[in-house]
Amino acid sequence: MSQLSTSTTPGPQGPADGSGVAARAVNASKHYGTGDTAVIALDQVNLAFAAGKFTAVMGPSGSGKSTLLHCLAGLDDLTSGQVIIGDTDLSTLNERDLTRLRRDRVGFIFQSFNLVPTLTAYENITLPLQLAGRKPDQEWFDTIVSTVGLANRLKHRPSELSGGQQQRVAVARALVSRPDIIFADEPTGNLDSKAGSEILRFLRRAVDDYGQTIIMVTHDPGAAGYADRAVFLSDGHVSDEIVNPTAESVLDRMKRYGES
Amino acid sequence: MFRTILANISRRKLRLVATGLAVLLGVAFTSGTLVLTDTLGATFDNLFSDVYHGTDAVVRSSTVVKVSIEGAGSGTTRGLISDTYVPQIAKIPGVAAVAGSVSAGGTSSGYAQIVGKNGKALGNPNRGAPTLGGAWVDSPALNPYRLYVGRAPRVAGEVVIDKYSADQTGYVIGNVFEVLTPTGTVNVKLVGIAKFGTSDSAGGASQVLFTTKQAQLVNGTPGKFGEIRVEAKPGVSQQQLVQDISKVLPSTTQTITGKAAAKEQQDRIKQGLSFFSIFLLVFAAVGLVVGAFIIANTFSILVAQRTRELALLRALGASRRQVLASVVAEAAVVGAIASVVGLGLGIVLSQALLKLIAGGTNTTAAVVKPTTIVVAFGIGIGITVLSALFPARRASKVAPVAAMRETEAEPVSGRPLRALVGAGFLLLGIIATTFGALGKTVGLVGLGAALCLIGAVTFGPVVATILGRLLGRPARALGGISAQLGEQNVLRNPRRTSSTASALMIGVFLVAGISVFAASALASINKLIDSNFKGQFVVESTGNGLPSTLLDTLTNDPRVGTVAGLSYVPVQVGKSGLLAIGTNPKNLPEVYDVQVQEGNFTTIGLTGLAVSRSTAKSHNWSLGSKVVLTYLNGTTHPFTVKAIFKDQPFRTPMFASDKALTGALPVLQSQVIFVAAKPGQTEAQSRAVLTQLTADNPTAKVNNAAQFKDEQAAQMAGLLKIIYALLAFAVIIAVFGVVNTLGLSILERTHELGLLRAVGMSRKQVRTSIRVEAVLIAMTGTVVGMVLGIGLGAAVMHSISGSSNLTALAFPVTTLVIVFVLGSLVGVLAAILPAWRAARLDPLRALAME
Repeated sequence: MSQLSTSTTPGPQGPADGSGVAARAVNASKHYGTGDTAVIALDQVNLAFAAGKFTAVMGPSGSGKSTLLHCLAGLDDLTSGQVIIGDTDLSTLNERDLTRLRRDRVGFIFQSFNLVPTLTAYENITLPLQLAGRKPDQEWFDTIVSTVGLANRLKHRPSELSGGQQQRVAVARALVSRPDIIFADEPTGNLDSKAGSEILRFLRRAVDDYGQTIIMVTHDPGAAGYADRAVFLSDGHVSDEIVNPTAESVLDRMKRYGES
Repeated sequence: MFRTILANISRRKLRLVATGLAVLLGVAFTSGTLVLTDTLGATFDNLFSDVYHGTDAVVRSSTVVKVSIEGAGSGTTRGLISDTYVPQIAKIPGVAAVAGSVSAGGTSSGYAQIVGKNGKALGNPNRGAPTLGGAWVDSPALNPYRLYVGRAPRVAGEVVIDKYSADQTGYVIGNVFEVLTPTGTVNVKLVGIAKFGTSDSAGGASQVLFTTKQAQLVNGTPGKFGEIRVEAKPGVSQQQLVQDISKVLPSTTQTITGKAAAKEQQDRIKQGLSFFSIFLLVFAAVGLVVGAFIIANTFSILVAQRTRELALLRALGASRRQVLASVVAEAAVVGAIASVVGLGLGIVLSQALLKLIAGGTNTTAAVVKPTTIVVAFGIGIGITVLSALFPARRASKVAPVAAMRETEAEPVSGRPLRALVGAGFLLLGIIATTFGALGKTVGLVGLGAALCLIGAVTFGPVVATILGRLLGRPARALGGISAQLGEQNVLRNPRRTSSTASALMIGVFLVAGISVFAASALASINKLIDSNFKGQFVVESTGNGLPSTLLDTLTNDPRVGTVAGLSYVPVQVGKSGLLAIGTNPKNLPEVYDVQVQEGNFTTIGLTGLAVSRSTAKSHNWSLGSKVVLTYLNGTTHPFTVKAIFKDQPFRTPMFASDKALTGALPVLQSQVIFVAAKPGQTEAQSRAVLTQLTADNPTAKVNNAAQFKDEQAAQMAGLLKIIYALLAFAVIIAVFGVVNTLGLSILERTHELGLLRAVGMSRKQVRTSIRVEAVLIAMTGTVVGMVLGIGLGAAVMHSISGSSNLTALAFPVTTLVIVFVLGSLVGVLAAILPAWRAARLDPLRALAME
């Protein structure tokens, strides 16, 4: 057990800067299969994510970082333990409430952009609001769109946009409903370094300027360098963390764990 | 390679099931029809072999009149012969037994209908097996019936009936009941119940067997027989017997072998069955065409989804031909499996139908001819392979490099050439239809219809885009983002949308077209009744026709006003037969306007004819022309054309006085009797009189003009019901098509659906979007099919209006609205399963699919 994840009290473990906790995992375990073939993806993980902070979750393939993200986001359920978003225990929610939570309180950014090909950029951005039957807040919408630089691309369909532009649409979509948390799953994995750093700068600005909470899974030390905190997972455990990481410090730490 | 194909099929089981179903249903319908008609044919073959089993020779009149009625086939009527030939034949050496039969194939006489305990006549000869009346024959060789209980009739008033009728009515030996005959209603006492060979009835027909004398009497043919059946002594061949009889009898008679007589009857039934068979096969063909669209669509989606896989095969060295062959072979295997199951289902279906049709008859075992099997497999495999050919060709053109590319599953089509060709076909079709309608050429309208359909299918993607947008707008307003996503998915691949909708379009096209045609025909009939019918009542029969005595009864009753009956009489004019209508020429114009254009109808008298304009034209007749009519009894009668009337809708060629036609048929039975109420009587009073006078015949019906119209409408509705039910089959196949396309499309969009679910789309919203997609597809097909159907129904009506007086054009709004709503509901129905499956997708797993 890592010294940082042994605490059994579900207290905040983020930087003690006085801000609240946006999400936490309490004794979160996830097993796939049973018996000899059982795979333990998460093993008694206790983690808290501070509100208004940008947290990077790192780890090698199979470390459980994607599973953790999916469970935090309500896309997958735990075998045991709890995930709490704000003060909602996800295990108490049924399918419909989980859908509503994803729609209203959570934003997603995926590695493969995942835009709806039949909808325009504008429609893709406002999709979560439209699904909820809400009108977008025009001022907020304009702010986001100008931040990500898409003002003159709103009528285009995904197939008419570059990868970077598509991911910017995805970022805008995640931001538009002012979710409690945005989960980003390798958001730069499919982008060249220039487009990738652009996206990371947007995420950073969302945290700094608008107080957005972001949890990002990545294995790119450069990407983790944009975060306020980097959490390392290995074999389903939290193994380490760095506050205010830089690309170098992360790389250094990864080397120490024998990871490439 | 073959192993790859089989592996492919087994891995895509579900996707191919719907394809297989479309073929399967078509094959089942086709093979079921063939098996049904073949089995019925064999059953009747056996039946007539049984009837003529011990008959070695048949003696009958050599006078025949063959009348062919346009669109209704032809009927042969044979004259009667004198019963004095019976003792004459009996004296011939080599004859073992002789018996006369009042009825024979092709004579109108020989019916009797039993009135049951409930006062209703047993059976409906217009819709089912005939209700026959004949003479009990003592010679067992010449009588196919065997007494089951009781004895043979000895005196007038005693009868034997078949066991099936006895079971149906509950009559037992000793019961007294009424029997309807051509000459009126008679009271009889049941003395025996007989079986037809070993079965309860002959092909479901009810049979009343009188004494010979009474059988002749009730048929209005005293001293006459329809045919005389002769049994040879052992050692005398049928041919020898025929020769011996022919030598003795005059040339007004004709003698044939018992085998030939049976064969004639068997052929007559087979001809009737072949019409029935063709009628059903037309609907099977519609189903197969619809199925072809679905197969083509499924395969093109499958090929598109496998583009990368096929490209990989190409990159690894598979030739174009191998790729083509692999897709075609896959289709062939699916077609073969569907054919096997379809054939089996067809046989089961035919047996179920047979049970329904055959009543108390023992039918033969299912007759599955080798041709049926060949046809089933030919159609099943042929249609599947042909439909898969285009997609297969496309598959073979996949460039190997596509394996490396990340492409959209299917190129969104927007081929200008295709749209142009489609528009061309449509335009040509519309032109042909318009000219056909205006020029009164039905053939041209038919060609136009075919061109329009081809055009609509080819032009479909463009139409689908336009209609999808148009119809999607209100949906979007109502259903928000879910509806919008559904609409976008319809527009995403117009070609796919259009070919899915095409399947439904064909069904809707036919239903709409037929309903417009039927409504117009009905409106025309009503118009005709309004303008031509001047009486107050129409007396009709729901059975074998009104008894010959009724006309006299009505005419002679002082409480009844003007009366005119119409009886149909086959007569020979030169070499051709015609159906003359016997009536009372003095009275008819008072109750029915014949629309005389030249001459005077009321004064045609006993030697005058009134002929229709077209009959006059084709025979080169004018007022004053001499016409010689030959009657069935062989006598000739000179007539003069004294009036020419406007062509009637049902091609009435000529009228003559029924008195002048006496002898042309054994009895003149009126098909309908028009009655004008006595002046001063209320309708209720007149009706009471008529009801009283027809009381002894439960099949006689007294209708006023409104009821008469209702009856026509009810008859039309009955016919339409059958046609719609048969077309429903095509619509069911179309539903499978929509389900299949949606299912495949959803599979293609699994990842996208996962994303939508991840960002907060609820299951309900997923279902809504898929439902909207399905309804829009269905509505596209419905709208196009309706527009084409209404247009062409009206065009067909207009094109035939000139020659038949069917002039009114009517649009059955209620029916069309129902069709539209049902057509759209097809989408809701088709969406159930795909929507359920899509909503159940686990977002995480769906997202992982890439």
